[in-house]
Amino acid sequence: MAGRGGAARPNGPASGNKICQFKLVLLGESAVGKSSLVLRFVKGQFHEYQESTIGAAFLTQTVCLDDTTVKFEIWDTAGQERYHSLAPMYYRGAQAAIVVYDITNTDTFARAKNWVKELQRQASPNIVIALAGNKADLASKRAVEFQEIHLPLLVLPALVQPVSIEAQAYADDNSLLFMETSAKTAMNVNEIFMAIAKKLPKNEPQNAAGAPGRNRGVDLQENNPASRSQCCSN
Amino acid sequence: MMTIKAFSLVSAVERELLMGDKDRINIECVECCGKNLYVGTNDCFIYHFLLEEKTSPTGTAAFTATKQLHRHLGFKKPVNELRAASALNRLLVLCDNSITLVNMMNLEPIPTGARIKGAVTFALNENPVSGDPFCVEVCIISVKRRTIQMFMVYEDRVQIVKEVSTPEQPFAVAVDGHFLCLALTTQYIILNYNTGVSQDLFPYCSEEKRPIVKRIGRQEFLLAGPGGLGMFATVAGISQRAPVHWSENVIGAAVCFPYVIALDDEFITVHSMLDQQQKQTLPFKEGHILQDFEGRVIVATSKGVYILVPLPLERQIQDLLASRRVEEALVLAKGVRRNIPKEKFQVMYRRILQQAGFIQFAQLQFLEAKELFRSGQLDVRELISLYPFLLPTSSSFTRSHPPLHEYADLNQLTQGDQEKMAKCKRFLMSYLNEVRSTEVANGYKEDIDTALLKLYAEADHDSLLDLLVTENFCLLTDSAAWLEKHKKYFALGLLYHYNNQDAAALQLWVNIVNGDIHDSTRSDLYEYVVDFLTYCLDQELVWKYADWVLQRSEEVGVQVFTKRPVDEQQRNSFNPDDVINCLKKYPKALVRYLEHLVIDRRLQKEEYHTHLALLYLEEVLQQRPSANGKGAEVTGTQAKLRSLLQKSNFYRVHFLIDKIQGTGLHMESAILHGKLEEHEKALRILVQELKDFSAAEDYCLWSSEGRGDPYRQRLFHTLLAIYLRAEPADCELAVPAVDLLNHHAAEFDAAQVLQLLPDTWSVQLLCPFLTGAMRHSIHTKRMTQVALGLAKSENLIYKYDKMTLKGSSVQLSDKKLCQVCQNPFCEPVFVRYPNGGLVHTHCAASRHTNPNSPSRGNRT
Repeated sequence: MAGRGGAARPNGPASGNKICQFKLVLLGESAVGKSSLVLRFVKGQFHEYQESTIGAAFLTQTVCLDDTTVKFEIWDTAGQERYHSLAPMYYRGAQAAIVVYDITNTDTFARAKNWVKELQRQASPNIVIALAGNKADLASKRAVEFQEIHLPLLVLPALVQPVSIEAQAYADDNSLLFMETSAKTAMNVNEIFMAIAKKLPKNEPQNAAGAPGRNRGVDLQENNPASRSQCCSN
Repeated sequence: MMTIKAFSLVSAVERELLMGDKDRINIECVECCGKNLYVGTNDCFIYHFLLEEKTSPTGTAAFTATKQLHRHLGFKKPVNELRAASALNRLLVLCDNSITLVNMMNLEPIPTGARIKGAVTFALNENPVSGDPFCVEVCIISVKRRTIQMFMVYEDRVQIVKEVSTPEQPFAVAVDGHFLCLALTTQYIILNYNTGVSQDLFPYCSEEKRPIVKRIGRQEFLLAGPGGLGMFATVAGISQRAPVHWSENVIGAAVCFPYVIALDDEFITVHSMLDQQQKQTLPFKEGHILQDFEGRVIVATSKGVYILVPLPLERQIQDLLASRRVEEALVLAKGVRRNIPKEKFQVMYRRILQQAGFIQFAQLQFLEAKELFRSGQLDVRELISLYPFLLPTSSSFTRSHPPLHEYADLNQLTQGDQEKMAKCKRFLMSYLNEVRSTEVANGYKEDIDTALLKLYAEADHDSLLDLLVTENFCLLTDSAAWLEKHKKYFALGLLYHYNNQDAAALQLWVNIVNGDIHDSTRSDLYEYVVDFLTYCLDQELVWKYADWVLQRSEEVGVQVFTKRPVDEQQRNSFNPDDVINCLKKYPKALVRYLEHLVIDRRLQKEEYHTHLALLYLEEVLQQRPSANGKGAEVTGTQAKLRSLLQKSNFYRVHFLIDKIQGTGLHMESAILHGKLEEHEKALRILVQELKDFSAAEDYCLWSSEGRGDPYRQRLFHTLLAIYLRAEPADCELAVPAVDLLNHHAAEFDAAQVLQLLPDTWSVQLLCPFLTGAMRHSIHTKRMTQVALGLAKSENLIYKYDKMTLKGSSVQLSDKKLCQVCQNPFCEPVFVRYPNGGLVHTHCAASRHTNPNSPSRGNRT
């Protein structure tokens, strides 16, 4: 079931003169919704039964931000533990990362914190990191149940509610962007990518090692100073 | 899984050729360099074959290998690896941990016996750093623990360049420039042997599973990763392509762009590097070697050698398109862009886009189809030609060959489904409408517009008329036949008009109005025709249809003459006399036309004015008998007549007076007399015949308009005189006389009036007049007094000025100098300026201005 999302698709390339290309990587425990977020952002679709990503997948999406066209080269990594060791191959040279957890599962939040730590330790020093609490659609459901039932135990709220409070505090402490998202309802999906686009430096030389896209060698970029100077001239 | 046939597996060297029936002999390694194929065996033999490629008539490739010679290396060890260095004409042979050089052609060892000892495995640097074309760079994994050595290998000598130690024992190596990609015991790393800098890639347990390290291009390697992944890695330690998913027990990998080929125990699998999907699976048992040699992929079991022949990419793309896998076909086409010459690629890619467009079109995916047609720069006629009868019969278009799609026409495509057909037609309408004004249409504008016209006509679409009244390239004969078929006669008329065939257009429209043919497009078609004729430049046509339009409606029809555009009127292309002649049969129209000439165009020709007045008069007289009973009610025509008589100065007054005599049209005859300046006669008619005193007063007012007060006074006095001179019996005129005086006191000279008035009239009666006259008189007197006083005081002021100026004396002596010429005065005549400056009279005359006296002319 590939329902078209309600949220507006990001704008296509505009006539703006600045074009910036950014490498963005998604990290997080398996089944938290990394691929779904990307699918929603890139194609405006949502699949209820999204297949597990093997290794990694690559997609691109272009958004417009004022007079700048931002092209995201998105690396959607596999969350399964056996692929964990491959992650550095994808986050090396990335200018942005979205670390995703599932707000109905505290374990995934703990895992997300580990990803953040790893990025802070090993990724580019000025990488923009966003924390996404995905499956926000489920949170609202459970919150309603919780109020109606007046469950005396703190089990459910401990699973659901504190995460967002704690996550916000954690994001603040670590200077991360933070949003609760839902790939299913499209809530905050474009917003989190746009927030990243805004925060990314548009006038600094892009990391030469990380910037080249697929099929593109270092040489190509150096042969193309014109487009780069548009990004760096100001 | 959707598959594609990217490769076919063909046999290259049959086992009989190698070992005959000797079972224990196995193939250990292969090398292919151009047409030379080398095979190393476990019994220390090297075989040299010449490969010939033959393409069978069916298009499938076949290979025959001809054995050149074979040579035993003199050990009892297997030949582990073979590498050709064609620039040196050498074959590098790894056997018994030692790399020896043999001649590529005769397989003789080189006389110097140069060799590299202690090698476990080796790799050639395909991106050499030395720049010496007669040298190959060889990297070996040494038998020494954790040691890598770099050698330069020349024709007959070898030279060690570098030895580096690694943190763990290396198992496999590939080289690119200064970068080594190494599979160590627990991980893959990139090591710059020049700087010693290393970059970890990812962990891999090489002891458990055989690692794969394969250089696939500049600074990029393909590695066997965890979970059966084929991982890509650059020398910077970055993966720039998404991984492909192999089985867990892959033993060899090769690249033949855009495909990654992998070998395991049972299958050869083919993945696309473009979308990471598995594209083909070939069953292949007991394979143990898979290598690519300059684009040729060779796979071998221990008994035979096979070649994976790639199918031409165009064929693959066509296969994808044939199975309607548009997305994949486009990805593949785009992906192989670099491998095909630019011009060839563009032609090919455009065609693929077009084909893809038709596939989407056939699935009624119009948005996608449109985008593909646009980017593929489709000749629009390809699309139009799908629709029966839309292309003009004269069109020279023939569909491209080979065809872009499999459909004969829309009927076949939709299988007669009317709803689908309608959708397709709507799409074509919007598509043609979009492209007709773009460069896509260049060269085919006729075909496009004609097709569009046909679609609109068939669908009864409003835009048909818009198309025809704006710039278009509809072909006349084709379009005309089609419009006629669909009974779009009005539109057909527009088409004729656009093609400068106004006569045909008008004939059609007239037929519609007459009801001879039916087309309800316009309910106001008659008015449209009138309007059309009004702006029609062809006079003959106007004359031809003038009777027709006038017969239908004189009032509307006459517009063809009265409402002609102003610029045309100025050229005066229609002679008014001709028009009047034509309009004789249509009195109403004639009146309108004359009104147009006299009132709108202000022509000052006497005939038109007289004619118009006469026509008015006739109509008035015609109406009178019926209207008479109700008294002198003024009809519209009569008002027009009066207005004309009053305002125009060009008609023949006497002629009209004759006509009007005895008709009882007193007002009109009064006006006429007035025109002759016979005001008394006119007023007499008004007073005595009509007894319309207010009309008489009005007469005085309008007749004197613009003539000045004395003229008006004279008229009023004339009127008053008529009133007063009447028979004494006719004393009823006294009342209007009094009213006249009382209402228009200001128009009379009171003194004169008083002398005329009968003595019997009381002051009471004339009170308003007298009061008015008195007031007026007193007012005049006082105003005069004021003026007098003011004039007197002004005079006084001037007198004072004069006295002041004359008061001081001017002394003139021969010592005084003229201020202009600085000469003394020799005569008593001088000019004095108000500031006291004295100058000669001639100096004052010659100089317009005195520098000290700017107020010239104020001489005293």
